[in-house]
Amino acid sequence: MAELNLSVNGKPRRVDVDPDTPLLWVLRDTLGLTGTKYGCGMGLCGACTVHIDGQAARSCVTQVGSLAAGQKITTIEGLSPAGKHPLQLAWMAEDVPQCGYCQAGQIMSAATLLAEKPHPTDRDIDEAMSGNICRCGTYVRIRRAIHRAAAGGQK
Amino acid sequence: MSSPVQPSRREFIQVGTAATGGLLVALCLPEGHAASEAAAGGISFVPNAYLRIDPDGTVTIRAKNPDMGQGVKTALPMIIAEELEADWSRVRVEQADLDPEAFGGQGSGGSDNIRSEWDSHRKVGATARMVLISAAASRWNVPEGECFARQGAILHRPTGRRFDFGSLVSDASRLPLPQGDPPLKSPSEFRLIGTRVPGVDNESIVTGRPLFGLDQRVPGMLYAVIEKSPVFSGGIVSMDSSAALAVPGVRKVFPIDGLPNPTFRMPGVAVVADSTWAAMKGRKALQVTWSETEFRDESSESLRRQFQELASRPGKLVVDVGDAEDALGRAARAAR
Repeated sequence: MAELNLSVNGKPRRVDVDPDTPLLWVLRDTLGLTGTKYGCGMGLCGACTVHIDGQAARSCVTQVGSLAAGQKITTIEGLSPAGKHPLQLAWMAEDVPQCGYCQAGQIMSAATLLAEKPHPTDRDIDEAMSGNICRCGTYVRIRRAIHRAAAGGQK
Repeated sequence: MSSPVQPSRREFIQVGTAATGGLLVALCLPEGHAASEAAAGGISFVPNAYLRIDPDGTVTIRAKNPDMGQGVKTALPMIIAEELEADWSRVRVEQADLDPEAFGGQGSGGSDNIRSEWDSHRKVGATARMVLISAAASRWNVPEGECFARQGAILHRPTGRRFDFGSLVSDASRLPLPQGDPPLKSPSEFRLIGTRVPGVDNESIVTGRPLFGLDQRVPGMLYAVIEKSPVFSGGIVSMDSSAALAVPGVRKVFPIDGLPNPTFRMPGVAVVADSTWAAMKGRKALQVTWSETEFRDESSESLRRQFQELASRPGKLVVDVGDAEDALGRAARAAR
């Protein structure tokens, strides 16, 4: 076990965990932030996507001990203070979720896409989102929601 | 509790007062404990109450079956809300606890949730509507037939007077139940069913609020993972758990029996620990010898070969309708 200082959703958090613990389990079990989901545990499905210094990262294969002090971790709970990120609003406006299990990861991936490309094409979206798998097959609505968020909430 | 009506031989509806002072409508199974508790009278809580209307007009509807992405947590309450003539913007949906004794079967699968719950859910909503109409009619001292429900209120047709549901629930919860089956709406009168209604959990989902089984937390809980045979239906021949138990945080390792039908539950080894990660590391450290089974050589590839082989054999004719060859011959475009 080791004491580590993390910055999660803008707050300093001190945790006492094995440094080989994936960030996912520190978020979920130690910090109680269960919005980030466990899917495959191998970085293949995208359900566990969070931001590390603004970049999408698979928290299930990111050892917490590998994070440098001061690196900023953002989860779905911290994406927007009141849950009103343009993507969250667009996701609701387009009624994207079905079972919903993958959607936190989808939104986190989409957020980094829009940060880099504020007006992505269908192709940009398909490429950027290809690492996030949805069992319910909500891809078409995800694409629509990303376009809606890019257009400032308009269709 | 008023005396029960018999909407069917299988189940009956009861109406009572909620602890919140609201109106409670339950669909009781004759064999369930809900029925016996309800029959005891004077209850303020019915375990399988599907519907509660509070004095502030909030309508709470319980969704009985698990939503796996097919939308039943939204669709089943819509059936009740439709017959009730609730204002959907004032409806809250709660997931029912697992309690098959109170609720009957609580499953999802086979695409039959709406079909199998349709009649009973409509009766729950319609019964609530009828007692609210009855309460309003007696307050106005007019015939019930002059009153109707619309968007969370009861209206008096000749005068346009109205009562919101909330102002009627206290009276309604003390009224005798209407006798016989409540009249159901004609599908042409449906205002909610048939419209696009966003999933009731959308906001929880997009903001990451706890919703799934994996998100549940109880004080002092431990975390467990299960190692199973790599081959379907394989059982434990021997196991050495010493390395798993040596992983810091692992509390206990023990075998789990399978069920006679391994599709429902295969045998396995549970590793219980202080954290998910410790349990996973413990599982990796397990040494288990599994029994050989007839499925030893089965793989995705072998299944695919079997499917292809079966598909190449002549099929068994189950239904023969129309003339496929003729229709294909006349099609503007044939895709085969």
